Amino acid sequence: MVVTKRRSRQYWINTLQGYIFIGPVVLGLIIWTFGPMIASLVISFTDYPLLKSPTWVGLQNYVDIFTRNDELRVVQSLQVTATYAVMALPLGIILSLLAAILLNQKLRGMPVFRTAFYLPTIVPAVASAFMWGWLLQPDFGIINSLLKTLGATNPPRWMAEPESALPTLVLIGAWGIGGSMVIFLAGLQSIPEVLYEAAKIDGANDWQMFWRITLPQLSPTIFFILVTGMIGALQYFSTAFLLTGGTGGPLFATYFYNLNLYDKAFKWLFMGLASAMAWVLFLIIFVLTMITFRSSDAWVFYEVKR
Amino acid sequence: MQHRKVSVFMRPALLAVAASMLVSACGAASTPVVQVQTAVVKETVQVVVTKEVVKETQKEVVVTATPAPAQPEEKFDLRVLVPCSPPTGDAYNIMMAAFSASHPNVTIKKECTGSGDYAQGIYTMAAAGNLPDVFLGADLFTVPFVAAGALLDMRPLAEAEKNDVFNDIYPNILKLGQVPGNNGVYMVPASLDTVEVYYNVDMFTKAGVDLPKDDWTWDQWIDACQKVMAKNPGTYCNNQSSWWAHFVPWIRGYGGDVLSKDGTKSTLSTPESVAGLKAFGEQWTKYHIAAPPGVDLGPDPFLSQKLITWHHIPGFMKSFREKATFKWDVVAMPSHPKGQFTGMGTYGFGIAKTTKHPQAAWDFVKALASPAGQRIELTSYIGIPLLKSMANDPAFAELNAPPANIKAFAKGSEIGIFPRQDYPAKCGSLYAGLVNQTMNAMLEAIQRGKGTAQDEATKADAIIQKCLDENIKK
Repeated sequence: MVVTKRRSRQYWINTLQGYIFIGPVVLGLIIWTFGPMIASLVISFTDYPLLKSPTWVGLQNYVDIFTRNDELRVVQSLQVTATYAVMALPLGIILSLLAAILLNQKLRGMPVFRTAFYLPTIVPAVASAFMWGWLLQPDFGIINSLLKTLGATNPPRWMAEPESALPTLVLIGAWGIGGSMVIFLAGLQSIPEVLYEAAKIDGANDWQMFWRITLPQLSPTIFFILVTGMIGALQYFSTAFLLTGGTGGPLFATYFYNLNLYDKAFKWLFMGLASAMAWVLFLIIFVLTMITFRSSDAWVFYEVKR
Repeated sequence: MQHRKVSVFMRPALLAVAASMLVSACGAASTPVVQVQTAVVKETVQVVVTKEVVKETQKEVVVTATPAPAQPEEKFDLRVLVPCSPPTGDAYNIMMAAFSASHPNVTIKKECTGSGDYAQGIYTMAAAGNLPDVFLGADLFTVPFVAAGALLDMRPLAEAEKNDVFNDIYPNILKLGQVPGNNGVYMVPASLDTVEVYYNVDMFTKAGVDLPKDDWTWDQWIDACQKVMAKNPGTYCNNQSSWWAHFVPWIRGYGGDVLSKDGTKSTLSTPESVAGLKAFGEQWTKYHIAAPPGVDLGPDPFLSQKLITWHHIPGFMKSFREKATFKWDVVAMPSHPKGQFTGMGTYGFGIAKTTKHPQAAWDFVKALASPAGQRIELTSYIGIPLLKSMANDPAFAELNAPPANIKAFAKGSEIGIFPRQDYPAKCGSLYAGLVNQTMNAMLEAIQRGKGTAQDEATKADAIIQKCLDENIKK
């Protein structure tokens, strides 16, 4: 039996008002986000030097990405990006967790320390990149001057040498752990105190409580930071661009994938290839995110089963 | 359970979509389109502004401005895009002064832009069909802008006049506004800009080293540099770099070139080119006179006296005169075993192919290459006259030092070489794209001693040759 329910006039007015209110956002999303995405997908199958009409080349750009590394250096830049992610992601998570644990202590003046740790996060990327560039300048920078004063005869040459440039960017990235630290802090403060009290009654020490209570209870937070951090690391661009003048040097040691993509699009004017590179990055991020989600069943603990 | 599966699938999907948005957003944020568009500031330039800027020489400009051809009474706007910083800003003022006196019916709409990512801004404007009538060009932009169909050939406009201004411009500097296989002129160059050597007289004198001369060889220079550096710890001698105007003269100076004469072969690994590259690299690996790659000497290293010399175009004279706290001068680039060579590169102005007012745009642009305009450039210390008829202009004698040896720049008409422009568009050029990236990689490896000149040049040749073979056939 089909029951038809007649909607009131007020219901339709409310519905219409709702659509009118969300209309600008939906339209903006379609026009300014999905539109360019679809356009870039189409362009990725073309040879498009920007100032001439695009010509259809099928999958050629995608083939070139993986077969012409000598010229395009796409695989090389992917390796640089992956290496950075493998170094920066665990370091960022561990440091921000440690900072959060320290800042979760019940001591006087703690808000001041929390603010101090969070402050670097609000410094604009350009300002912090230039600041680090000067601090780490190998011959005249403050850090090496300090190291020399402390007796270092041959301090690192930081961004000036291919061997040390990528680790230097990882260290610079660690300066901006404030965002993750605040999320960890919120996670730590949401762990029920009764769990620790019960553990103490059972004779657990601090280390055991950390491994058996804190870490499992924080696993959803770690999961969130891992996923967003991974996406951020794979999209790394601005600091490397600013500190190397866009070259990805020295000797392509910091030639990140997005730096290469930017080069191909706006310096080489290979818009088709650059669009294909953007979609390859999209697929890589998509697959890695899927894998991380799939793996979460094994290690992420939710108090309420999803 | 079913609900959970969907949820688990949807989350990564949504995250992935969100990630792609971030990718798009990152691209957009880095896109010069945005930078340029937001940087553009429209302003109607008033005569008052003109008077302010060319106060010293205004009278001369007005008197000698090229008489305008019969103009229609119709009033219209002429859009001019120019970086609002010296020396290009000064050049704009010269053109503006001459033009406004003779074209009262035309309002100049000056659009200022930053110099960063300028080319991308022009490409985007061209792609959007929104090019200004007149815009700044430079030798590095001529070929790509012409290939993009963005620039008007000014040759017919010049030839239609009684005195074809292009006949009086040194052919090598005019070449910077031309493209291979085409007699057209797409940019009126601003100045005879060749790379010569600015040097710190005080540092030489205090070190007890003879001041350099226009006929010095590189060996003499290296010897002098080492002596001056020894007396000034923490300094380097020069700013030689992977800029083509620095390294190609070394290759030419040992008898080689970057391309074969017909443009079909990459010739970096010929014995002559390798000898030039090896000698170029020895500035870092053997003599240690050039600032090492990756070492940032800060802004204005010549002014801060971290560099003893500065190898660059005449456009720096004005700034050095205003800011230097020490005595300085210029000399010609030293010579190599096969002769004296130096790079030349300049900015200038071109006319958009899409302009509706080609004659007015031409009247605006040509003022830059007029004797009056060139004289103002010289006396303002922003450029060296590019007109053959001004080689011995009395204005040279009236200039105050520094630089005392300003004629060293004029020597560029004899020793200046211009960048090879006959690489296929797909391969890029000495300024951008594959050729530029490959050469930079080769030079950096040589400078850092990570590879021999022979090995690195052979690798670079293979990459560039592959591109030439693929694209010349097409």
